[in-house]
Amino acid sequence: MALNSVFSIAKSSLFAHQQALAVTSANLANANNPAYSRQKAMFGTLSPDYRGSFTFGTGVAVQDVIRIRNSVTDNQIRENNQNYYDSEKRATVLSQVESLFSEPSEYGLSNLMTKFFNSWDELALDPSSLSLRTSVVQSGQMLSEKVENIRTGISNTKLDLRAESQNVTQSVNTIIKQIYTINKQIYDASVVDSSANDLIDTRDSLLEELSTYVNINVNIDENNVANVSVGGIFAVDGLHYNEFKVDYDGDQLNLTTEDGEAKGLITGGSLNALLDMHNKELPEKLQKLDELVTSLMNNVNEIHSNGFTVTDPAETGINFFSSYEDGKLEINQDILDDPFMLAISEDGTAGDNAIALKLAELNDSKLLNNKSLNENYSELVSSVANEINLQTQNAESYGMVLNQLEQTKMEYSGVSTDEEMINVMKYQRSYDAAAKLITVADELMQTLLTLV
Amino acid sequence: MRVPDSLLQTSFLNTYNKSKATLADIQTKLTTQSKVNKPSDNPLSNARIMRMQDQLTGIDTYKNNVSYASSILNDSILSMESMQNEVQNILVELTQLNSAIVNDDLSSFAESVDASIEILVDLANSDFNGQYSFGGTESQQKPFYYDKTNNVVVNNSEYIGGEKVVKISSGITQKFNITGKELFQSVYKQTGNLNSEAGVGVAQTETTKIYGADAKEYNLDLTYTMTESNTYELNYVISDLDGNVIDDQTVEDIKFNADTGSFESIGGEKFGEIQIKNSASKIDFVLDVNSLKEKDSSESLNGSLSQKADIFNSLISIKEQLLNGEKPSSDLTAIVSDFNQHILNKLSAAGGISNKLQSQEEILTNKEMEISELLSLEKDVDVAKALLDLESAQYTLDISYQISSMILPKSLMDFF
Repeated sequence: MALNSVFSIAKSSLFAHQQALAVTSANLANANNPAYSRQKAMFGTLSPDYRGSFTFGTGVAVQDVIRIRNSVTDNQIRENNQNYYDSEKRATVLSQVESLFSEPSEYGLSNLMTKFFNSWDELALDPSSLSLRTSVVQSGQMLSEKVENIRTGISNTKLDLRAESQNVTQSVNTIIKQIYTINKQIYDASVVDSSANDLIDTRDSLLEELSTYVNINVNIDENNVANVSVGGIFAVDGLHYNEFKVDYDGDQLNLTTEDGEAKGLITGGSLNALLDMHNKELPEKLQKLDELVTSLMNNVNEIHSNGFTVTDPAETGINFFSSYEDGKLEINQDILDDPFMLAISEDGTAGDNAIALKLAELNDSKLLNNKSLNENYSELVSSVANEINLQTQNAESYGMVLNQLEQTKMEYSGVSTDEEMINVMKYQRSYDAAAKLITVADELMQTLLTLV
Repeated sequence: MRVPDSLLQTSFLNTYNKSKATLADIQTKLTTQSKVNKPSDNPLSNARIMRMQDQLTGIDTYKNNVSYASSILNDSILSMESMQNEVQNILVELTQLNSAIVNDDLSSFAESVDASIEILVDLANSDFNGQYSFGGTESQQKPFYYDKTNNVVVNNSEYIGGEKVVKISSGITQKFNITGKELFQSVYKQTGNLNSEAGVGVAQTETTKIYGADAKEYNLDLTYTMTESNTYELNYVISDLDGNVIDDQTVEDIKFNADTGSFESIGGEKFGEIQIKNSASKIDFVLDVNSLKEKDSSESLNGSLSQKADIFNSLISIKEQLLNGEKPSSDLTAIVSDFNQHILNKLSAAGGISNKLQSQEEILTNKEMEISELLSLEKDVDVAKALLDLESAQYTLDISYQISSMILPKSLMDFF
């Protein structure tokens, strides 16, 4: 074996450790990049030199730079993302609705309904009192304003959900296009047998982000290209991509392809929460509120219209509420103009309070679903509160799983500066050794040359 | 296990966020003094709180109602006590009249009786907070008027019998006025039942005694004749004891409920009272048919007279007799004496209502305290416990800060 081969072996070691140091440097530089997976230089021996019955090593080379990543954890994270962001968004939207009720406080609908019915009770004491009549009208107005406030608030939340769904869909489209571009680059790299670790990191990060919005299905092919479907519809691969839109059909929001031909079956992610809240949950709450207010209006009107005013001439057949449309519970304008148009006398005399007493009794009467109006309202509020608690607990539990998975991912793929610094020291020592080897080989060569 | 730096950072952030959230939660509870600030804090507690707050608002209204009703009733009681004193004075004077030494100059007694009538009318028109206490449901109109020209006291309203009712608890109402009708008027309350199967055109009758303001006795014949199903006409005939007809009238279209048999209306009006007056005979009473029923059984008509005649016009009769130089008859004196007893009975009834209202106020106050206590248990924060929790949460956060400051910046780099 020639002395020159020592130079060659030392050179290979110098190069290999230089490359390994470059990989370590990249790891250290990306220590705080959450999308980055640590990489590792894989050393391998060069082809040996066979001399007769002897085999001599010819040096070392970095044969591959591998990305340390566990695809099982990635899949689990994407699964849990869909559940976590679905529950979290539901809890957020319902909390907005909950705040509209202003419960438990004196400004809540419950208290305002009780005050409204009690104001009839108070008027029954002195039916001729203008201040008590005005108090009835005012408590009716406060009740009406609160109903409108809640109704409009829920309707506006629905409009917000519509706008947010469109924004989310735009984000989904942007991510799909980014994945498409990166998929192509990954494919190109794989064709020339080049490493695409950083591109794959970026792509996986985008897939993770996509799974926070919608339920996705991901297949990675042999060229590391991701084939993704959203809600069962093809979204992207290395050659094509589909764009989506939120279609407003009647009162229903649906995710469809841009051409509207395919409808996605959305079961997870924040978009699922937005669509479900918009299409099902909030309309249900609105319907219950409307039933309650309509029942209140009809029952009050039914009794009030049987009473007589104390005007001259006395009038009857007057409704207290004129209408309830789009959340606006309107009080009869004649009553607003003149509280003496309140018809609380059953026999037409000024002092009779029979109608007022009957109206006050409505507070305890089973008017809707065999329950009082306040019990119905309490059920509505409780259903929202229980749903918030359920979704918050779900989000917490999915969040815990997600944290655990993130930690597992970090344990496996995260950059440890300590570990990398040890590698730096290790590679530096090897580099030093290779350099020393060259010095030794050089001295040997010098010794040899002096003989000539 | 590999422990990269990002793992430590994320782990710290998770713990830190949890500690902060706990701290914020305790702080909110402490500053609002409420464990339940929104329904989702505790849906069950929230439902209970809403119900209890509703109950407290209701109790507050009932307490106001009871207090107001008590005030009106107490004012009525004061007026009735004054009336009773005045009637006592009249009775004393009437007793003096019967003594042997009083033979002439009855006009001074007449003047005294006239002054008493004015006082009594004035008391009957007493008002509280703009409402006439004995005006029934027509409480804005002065109920009685002493017409000196025609020498008669008249009712200004036919609704002085209207009962005022107040709600004093959930589902419980209480009458809180003494009506002018029940106190001053002579009311014949028709009770019993008409036979619904008697057939159209069949008469069902009752005869009773009524009295003029001068205590003179008369016969009253009441004849109900079915004109169609559940509908009758009433013919009433007043005749003196010699059989001379004083008055003969017919009231049509008296309807009864087909299902319950209860009185429904007279001529379409729900008001079941018929005012019967005959000025010449000084007859003035109310025929009250509100309690009369129609049943599919044999007729059974009966009734009772609340008092023989109204006190005002009986006193006017006494005054007229005195001015005519006559001493009032014992029957007339008996009417005054009966009224004295009648007013005592009404005072007793009013006292009973007043006591009931007071008891109800106590019940409501106790209930209010009980519910407030329950509400406090459900809603109010245990400050001592919350402060300890706050201390503990703050301590956890401090430890978390300290450990993070020790661990997070350290790496092998620090030792190079």
